[in-house]
Amino acid sequence: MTSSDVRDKVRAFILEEILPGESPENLHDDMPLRTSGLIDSMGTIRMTAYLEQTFGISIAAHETGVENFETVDSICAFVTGKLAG
Amino acid sequence: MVTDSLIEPVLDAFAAHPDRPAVIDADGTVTTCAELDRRSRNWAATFLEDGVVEGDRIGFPRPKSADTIAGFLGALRIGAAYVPVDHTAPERRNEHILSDCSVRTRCGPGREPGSADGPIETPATAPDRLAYILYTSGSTGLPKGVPLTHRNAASFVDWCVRTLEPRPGDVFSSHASFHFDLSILDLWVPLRTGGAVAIVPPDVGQDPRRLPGFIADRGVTNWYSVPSILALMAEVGRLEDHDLSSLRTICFAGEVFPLPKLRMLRERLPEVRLLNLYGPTETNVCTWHEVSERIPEDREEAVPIGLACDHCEVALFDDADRRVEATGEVARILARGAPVMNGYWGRDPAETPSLVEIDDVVWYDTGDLGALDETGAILFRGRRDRMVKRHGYRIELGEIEAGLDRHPDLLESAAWAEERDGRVVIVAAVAPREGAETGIIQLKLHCASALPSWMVPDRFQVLPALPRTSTGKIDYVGLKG
Repeated sequence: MTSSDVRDKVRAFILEEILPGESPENLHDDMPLRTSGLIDSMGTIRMTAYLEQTFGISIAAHETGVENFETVDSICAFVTGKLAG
Repeated sequence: MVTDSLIEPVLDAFAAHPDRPAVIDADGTVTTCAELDRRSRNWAATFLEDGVVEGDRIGFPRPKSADTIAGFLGALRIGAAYVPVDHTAPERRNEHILSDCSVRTRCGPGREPGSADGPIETPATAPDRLAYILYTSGSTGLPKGVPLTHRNAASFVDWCVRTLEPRPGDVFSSHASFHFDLSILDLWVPLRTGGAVAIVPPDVGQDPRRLPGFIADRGVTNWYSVPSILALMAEVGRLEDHDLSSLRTICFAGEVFPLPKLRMLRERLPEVRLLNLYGPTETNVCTWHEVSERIPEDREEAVPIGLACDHCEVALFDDADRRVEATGEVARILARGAPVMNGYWGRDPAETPSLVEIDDVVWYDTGDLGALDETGAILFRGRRDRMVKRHGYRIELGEIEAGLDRHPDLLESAAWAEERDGRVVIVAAVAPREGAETGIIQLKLHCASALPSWMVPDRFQVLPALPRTSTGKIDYVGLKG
């Protein structure tokens, strides 16, 4: 799994499940998702389950906050760290 | 048992159990009954200085905390009513609420009370005195106030005490927001029986994996919330990893609990009483059903909303206002009696379509449909109008449309609800002005600023124009298809 695979899968989930109908070029990887209200708490719960299944990682409850789940960039860094660790 | 006052039995309980915990804040800080009593007197004195008199309303646009609860108590101690407001909702919506009920004073997030020098005189019990106003989503786009009196509220709390049999030292979860009617049970049942209110931290409250740890840490005895979070907790919460032996009762209300998920919860917590409570804000809980120890394996339908609670009357009526007693016939659910509001705030009850007179008796028409099962219990059969429930929140689709219509680049909008994989999904179709750029991200960001977070649509469809029926109305059937 390369870091660009991770990015593709994270972006695909957000575009299909959270922002269905949005053009991929409008989703910038540094765009705030949580604090802006684009993803709500239920969306975060679904994304956590998706990431666990897709990447075979285990995400602890305290790791799902804004520090890891605010932008595409931060989510990718978090997942890549899990895969390396 | 008839008390007719929301506040007096609480003050009696404070006097009887001064050293017991009354509130456990989100961060774990414990406030005793004596301390909560003292702080509520300070708030009462502060409100009197603000010029509050009996019958006035006091607005509370602030987060949940022991101090906010002390403020509610302070308001009731001087015969005023409290108006809880979702401090995270858009300011425009909140200002409408606070001006609609013309609050005399408000308690913003940072406000602290002064100190009370003398004793606070609580006016004599008046069952018809206003206790609180809860604002719910309104079909015209503006929230409407449901005013409830001491008798309305106390009749429900009395029923809870009879049914839940709380004991001093019990710990009740406070998961719902204070502007949500579930908070009435969360607050007023433990406070008047020597129990404690355990405020669930907002981030934990939305996280099914952290909730079991919260219940175990706080020793929660009575849990009350919408089913969606309980369903997730049963599924992914790893209940078996936690000691949940403190739990005696779980109540749920606000939406249908999908049966497979309820079965899962029943199997994981076989010793716990599971109660399905039903009732709109206008009546609070008016029917209930106790889930059996074993849910029959061949049952496919959601459990009933049950039978009328003994403090009110609930019946089914057909469109000709005839009472329906036959099994299976779908009809309107109507309620009357002690817990039912007399009318919306600032509106003439005679011009309130949901208050209907049948054979000289006034009933509240819930707008919900029900049918009787073979035991005489009511099964929920959906809504007649454009109200939907998502994550337990009551949402008028008209309010979402009104929020979308405030977008300068949108000409018109239509919102509806669909079910996908057992989840309620809200879809909005919008028609932008010619040449306007309206991406999904922009639409979502607009909604996040124009509407409370729980009203933001899940999906959008951008169309050149919305389809119309032959009479010129928006064609919702065509849109959904």
